[in-house]
Amino acid sequence: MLSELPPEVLIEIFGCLEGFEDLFNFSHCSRYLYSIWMLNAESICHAMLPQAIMCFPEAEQLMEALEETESKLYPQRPQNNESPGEESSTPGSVERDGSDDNSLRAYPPVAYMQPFSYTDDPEIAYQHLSKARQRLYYPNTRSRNSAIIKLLHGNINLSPRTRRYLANADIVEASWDCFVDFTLPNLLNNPQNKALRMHVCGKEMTPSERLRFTRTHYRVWTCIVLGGTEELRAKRRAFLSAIGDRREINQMREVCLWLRHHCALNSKKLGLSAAAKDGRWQGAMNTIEDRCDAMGGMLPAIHTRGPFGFWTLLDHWQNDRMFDLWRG
Amino acid sequence: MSNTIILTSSDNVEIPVDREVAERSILIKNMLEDVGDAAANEPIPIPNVNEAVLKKVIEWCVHHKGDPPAAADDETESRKRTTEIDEWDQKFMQVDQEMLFEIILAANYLDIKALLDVGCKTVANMIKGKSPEEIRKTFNITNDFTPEEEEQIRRENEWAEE
Repeated sequence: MLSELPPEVLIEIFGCLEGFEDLFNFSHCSRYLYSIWMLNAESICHAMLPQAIMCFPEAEQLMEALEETESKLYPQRPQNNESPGEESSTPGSVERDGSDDNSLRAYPPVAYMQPFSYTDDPEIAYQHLSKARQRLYYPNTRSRNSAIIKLLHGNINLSPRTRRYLANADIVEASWDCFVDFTLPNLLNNPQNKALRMHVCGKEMTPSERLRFTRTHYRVWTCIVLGGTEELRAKRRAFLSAIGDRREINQMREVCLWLRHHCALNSKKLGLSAAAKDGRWQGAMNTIEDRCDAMGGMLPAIHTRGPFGFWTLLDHWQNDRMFDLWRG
Repeated sequence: MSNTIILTSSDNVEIPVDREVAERSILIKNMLEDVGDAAANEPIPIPNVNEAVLKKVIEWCVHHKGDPPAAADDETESRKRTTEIDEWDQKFMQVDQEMLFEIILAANYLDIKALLDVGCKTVANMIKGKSPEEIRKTFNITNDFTPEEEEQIRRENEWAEE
């Protein structure tokens, strides 16, 4: 009988399933199967996700590229699961484990520029970054502060006023995202896209720029693939469920914000009606937003061994308090 | 070095097998390496596998004799997994459930990763698209959850449903 198979074999079977729906249905059959799933979620996910998510290898490669760049950028920072660079790039979010202010001080503050310009031309997008008014978030503070600044193109040539502002805020580095819509026709099949990772406007990108650019590519690419037709809804959710820690959840929150702004701007300001009417974007946004709370509750749980961690986190999720855990 | 070895099943049936075929099993391969060529002429007991299952496993090993050796159990290998099963393997696995699970257990015991993989994929394909109730029915699993627990678990995972 199947339920008499040893755990190691059942873990193999779990790992052969194609998606989370099958996985959950199987784990719901009995206490034994449920306990196998709960106690071995990490290894089961590791085995299953490449099958469940069509872009998993590419997404992983991009994640690795991000982390590699980040480790070069911040070699002095502690190497742990919650990469501070990633954390700090999330508007208004910062790791809050209790009140450990010392650990926060270990991360130099980094400004995060969230531009509100979208275009199908990466060069124009990049140039816009030098002109557009940016909302500045500096996350290593208890409360979310923001200010409108002007970000100059090139070696992040900030205005004297902005420099003073950043200095007063003890911000040592500024970085930004470049939002380019790779779904728009001009960019599809554009052979220069690869080169863009290294060169923008004829200038070689700094590691920080590459990091931002790669991250943007990752987000956009992921949303294109997983924000697709109705039958991909489950895969989209599976992708969300693949996000294994709070740092990565924060990334998805950013994607969520990005989509919201993207759709709003496209439809209201830029008049890029083709993209705005594209159901993939709206669908992806709805799924991400609808599931964001569930994601916040479930995903750390998946990677939390033992019932205590799971139920604690689940309780937070059910009471809509999950995000408080990482918002601070 | 003898080209044929004898395997003894749990019901004491001796089955001669080509050594290369038998060495698809990492357990047997390691055992043969450990005991040396002289002792390899002695029958090798396989106490956890009966004759019918052992013959079935050997049939699989014969068919896959020429396959390249399994890659090390590393990241690359696990990433390449798919749920697709080779046509011959599909037919091979068209057995009753009892035999299917016996083959899986034997593959696990004998450490034949590729056969274990085929067996697990076969079971996974039987699970695919089924509700918990249908899976229970298919595999004769007793539902030992209380209704409250069942409802709670269902709610936890609602997000994954279509």
